[in-house]
Amino acid sequence: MATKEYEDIEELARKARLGDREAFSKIVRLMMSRTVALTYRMTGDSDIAMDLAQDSFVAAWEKLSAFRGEAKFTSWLHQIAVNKCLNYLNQASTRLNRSWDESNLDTHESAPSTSDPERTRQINLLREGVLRFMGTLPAMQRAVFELRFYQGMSFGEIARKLSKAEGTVKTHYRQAVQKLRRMATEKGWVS
Amino acid sequence: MNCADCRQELELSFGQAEFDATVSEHLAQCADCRTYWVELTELAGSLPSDDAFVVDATTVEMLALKVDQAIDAQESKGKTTPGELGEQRSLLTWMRLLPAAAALLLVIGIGSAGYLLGRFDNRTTTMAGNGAAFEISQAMDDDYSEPDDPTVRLLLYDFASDRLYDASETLLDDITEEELRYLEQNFEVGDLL
Repeated sequence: MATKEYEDIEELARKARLGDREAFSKIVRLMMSRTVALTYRMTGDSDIAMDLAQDSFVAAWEKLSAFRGEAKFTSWLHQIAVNKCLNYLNQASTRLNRSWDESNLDTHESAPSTSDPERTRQINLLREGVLRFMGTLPAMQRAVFELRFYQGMSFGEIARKLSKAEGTVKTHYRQAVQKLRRMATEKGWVS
Repeated sequence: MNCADCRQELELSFGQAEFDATVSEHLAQCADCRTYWVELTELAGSLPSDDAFVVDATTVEMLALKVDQAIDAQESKGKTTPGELGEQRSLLTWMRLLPAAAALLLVIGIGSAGYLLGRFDNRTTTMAGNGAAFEISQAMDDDYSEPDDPTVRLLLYDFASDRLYDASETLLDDITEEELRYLEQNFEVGDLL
């Protein structure tokens, strides 16, 4: 996300915190795509991902007065989304298994536009591969991988957000990376 | 640094541009770990970025409208806006402070009561002390007998103590017409002084 966009969102969040609904609506439109991306990677189901993204925004509006501005608003919102996903994944393990069926790996979301069809096909393939890989991870490992690899958080931050010891978080990340490497080798993602 | 430690550090820095200087030193002299590093770097680079998961504008708009509707529905049910929630939170903070404030008032009240009671005790003591002075005075004047009337006794105590009330002021300001008549009828000026 561009720096200017971050600044806009922080400013909008400041206004929204004072009850400005219009400012919050703008935040929703600016951050919806990335929030769905997060919930999609976490759940592997586009419909569930969209529901959880919506729930995350509604929860963010309800909790907005508790947002102190100590962290970036985007991180705060993504944390809410990760928690929503963890709750969803923890509710029933059967859901977890079901959501990773091949049929759920649809291509509802559009891949980034590129003039090279081969490149587009490759990106779609890798995206599905990532989703499949995420699906093999236990919920907590998945959250750690999401927050570290895609949200760029430090291990310390993740540990605080997930109420885990930093060592535990590091172990989860290493295990996820090892699993990803094994899968990538098997599937021939990398040369 | 040994190979196991190096690989552990490389896994932890997966997707990150930087790693520890000790890792760099080890990589410079270990071909196996260097291969492992290249492999992980390629893998991290090949993973689709956040942009690969973007949702199209129409879907974003549809979802945003649903969020707006959900918030509208909540607000129509009486749920409040963040601004109002902030005010409520302030009110709750004050309400949480109320017991402390009440406790503080109670302590002040007890303290004041204690102080006043202390003063009352002092007064009693003083009066008792002055009572002793009267006894001495009585011993010197065999004809003296303490008046039965409590009002008169109080006036005499006040006069003798000269601390809580000024007797002359009491006589001039506080005494009622009826009391003054009583005094005039029953006492000589010398009896009072």
